[in-house]
Amino acid sequence: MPVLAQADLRLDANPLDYILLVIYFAVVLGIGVMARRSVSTSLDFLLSGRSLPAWVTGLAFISANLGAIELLGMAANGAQYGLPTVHYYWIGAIPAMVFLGLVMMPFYYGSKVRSVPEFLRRRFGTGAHLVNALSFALAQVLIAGVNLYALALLLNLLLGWPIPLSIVIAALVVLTYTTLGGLSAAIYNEVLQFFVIVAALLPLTIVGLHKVGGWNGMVEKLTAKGSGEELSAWPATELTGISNPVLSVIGIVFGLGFVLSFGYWTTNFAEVQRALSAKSMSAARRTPIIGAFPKALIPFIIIIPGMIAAVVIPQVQALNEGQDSGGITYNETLPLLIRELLPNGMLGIAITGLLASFMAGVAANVSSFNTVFTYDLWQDYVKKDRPDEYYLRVGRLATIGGTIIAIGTAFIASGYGNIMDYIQALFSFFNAPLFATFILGMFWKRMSAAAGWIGLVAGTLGAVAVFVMADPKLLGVLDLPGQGASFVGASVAFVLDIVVSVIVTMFTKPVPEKQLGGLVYSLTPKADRTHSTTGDDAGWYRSPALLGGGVLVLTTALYIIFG
Amino acid sequence: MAGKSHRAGLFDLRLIIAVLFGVYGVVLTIVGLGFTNDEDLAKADGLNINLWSGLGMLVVAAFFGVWTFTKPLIVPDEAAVEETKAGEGH
Repeated sequence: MPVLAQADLRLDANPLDYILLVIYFAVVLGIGVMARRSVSTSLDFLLSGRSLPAWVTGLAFISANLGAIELLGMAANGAQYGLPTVHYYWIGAIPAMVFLGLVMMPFYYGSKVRSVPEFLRRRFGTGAHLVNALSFALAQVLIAGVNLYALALLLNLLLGWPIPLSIVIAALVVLTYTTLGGLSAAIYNEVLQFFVIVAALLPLTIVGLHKVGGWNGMVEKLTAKGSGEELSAWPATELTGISNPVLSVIGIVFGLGFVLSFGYWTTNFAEVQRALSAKSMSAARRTPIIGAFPKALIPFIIIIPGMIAAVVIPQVQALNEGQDSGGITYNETLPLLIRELLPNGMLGIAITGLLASFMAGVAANVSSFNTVFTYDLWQDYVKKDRPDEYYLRVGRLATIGGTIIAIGTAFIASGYGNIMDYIQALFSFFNAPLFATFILGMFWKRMSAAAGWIGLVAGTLGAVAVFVMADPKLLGVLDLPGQGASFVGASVAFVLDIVVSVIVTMFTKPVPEKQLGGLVYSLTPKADRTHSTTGDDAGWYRSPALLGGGVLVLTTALYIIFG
Repeated sequence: MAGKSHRAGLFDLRLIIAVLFGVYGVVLTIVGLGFTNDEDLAKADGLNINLWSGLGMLVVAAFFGVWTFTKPLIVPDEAAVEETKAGEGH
């Protein structure tokens, strides 16, 4: 067995690379300063004044999700599991994004709510609203902290910066541009970040493929060293940890493709907020659908580098074969490949792309936290009926407060590493049942206010129960390694939420129908659900249904080619 | 409407993208043409990746630059905004 040297991940960055990095940060902060001029009301600050074009909100929509934890994690999955990782991008995102745009957005945007919790308040009243607003606000600041810590860890590993210094610098940059420019600055930077990530990963993919002899060369090398399972998307038994292929496919289609994905993409306010900031109903409906096109294609420059690393990086090969990798884990796949293949210059762009994606993730957390805090907690429960300047100030202060809590969380996480995993698990519990409550609430006018919050709580507890039973460190009575536990947990939460909501509704009073206009399908006039097709919304290529159909066809074609 | 609106100018996102990628493209192209040694080439498996990426970025910059100037973003001024808001009945 070859003994690998203790790997040093330090990148050989020179002044040129740092200059490219500094240029990017100058632009990012400049956007914050310029965006400040366009902020005069709380709606400007927290929802960009509902003024952005669809291509901007669409790219921001996927960019807000393209944080670096996701980037490093998916490249790692690519190295470990290979092609089955595409499920997270295709079945695990595209159908939900199209559904959000075509079916749900008319209610979100048409009802003029300013946040996802606010929709729950108008549909179900205080109970469901408080459950969702509190859990979401808490989730966002803690996850922002986890993101900050992960960023600091990466800076330490790659460039040798001390962890506390990295946490504070990164937080200050994000704080500066989001406090100045609000959501507009966050969204503009997300779009910019999207292009920088592509500019970093596309050349990396090209060089990597060149090195292994193209696509065919990679396929040959992977086939030679393994079972070949990493070369076809189905049935993905290694990814799910479910050994029966049929059950594994069901787990992916129902657990990942339906429950997890619809729960995340259609109800997570950090995502939906991007669409709510669009300038018209048509643009809002197109936002997730336009985002779906790059979402369908981007795995090629994230997962393929991971698969290439599995044949060109000795440490990753060692991991694949279950041998000693010298302390390297799959999460370091992407930085290792960058170090191996990119010369100074492109190296600077790649570092910039990684840092940019971390900051955009933190900014998305912070900019959705301040909106929910200001409108859903402060305005609804603490100080009602103040002039708008008051809430603009609250929004700015909430941004600062949220960032400070995030810094605190980052420092706690740096002391206790596995807290990160638990924080992320904790918030998947809140997310899992939400879609069930939303879809019932939007299409079943009889559903009562009590069913709203009791269903949410029951679903969350169901997800917690599965987690406790499957985690080997807790009870460990369910044998579900890999991702299977989260698929099953989300499915249980979904079913439980529906069942409990239906039962509770049978025994409680429905919400009066006159309060539900614009919120429930059968009580909303068709005119309020349709978008205009004139001016900036004219043209067949701006039809949400056509674009949605197009991206579903594209995804199906990709599955046929790479299935 | 004429006279009540102005071009977004510097704060058009497309222009910001064009400028950033223009600068990156020029820097990488120069590095690729003039400052690439055999070690750099060997690292990227013989490809002059700085040069190619730089040229690609210049194309992206040109695309966004042309888009910005052919379809300028018109921002309504304060007065016009007030009017629209009143018209929407808020």
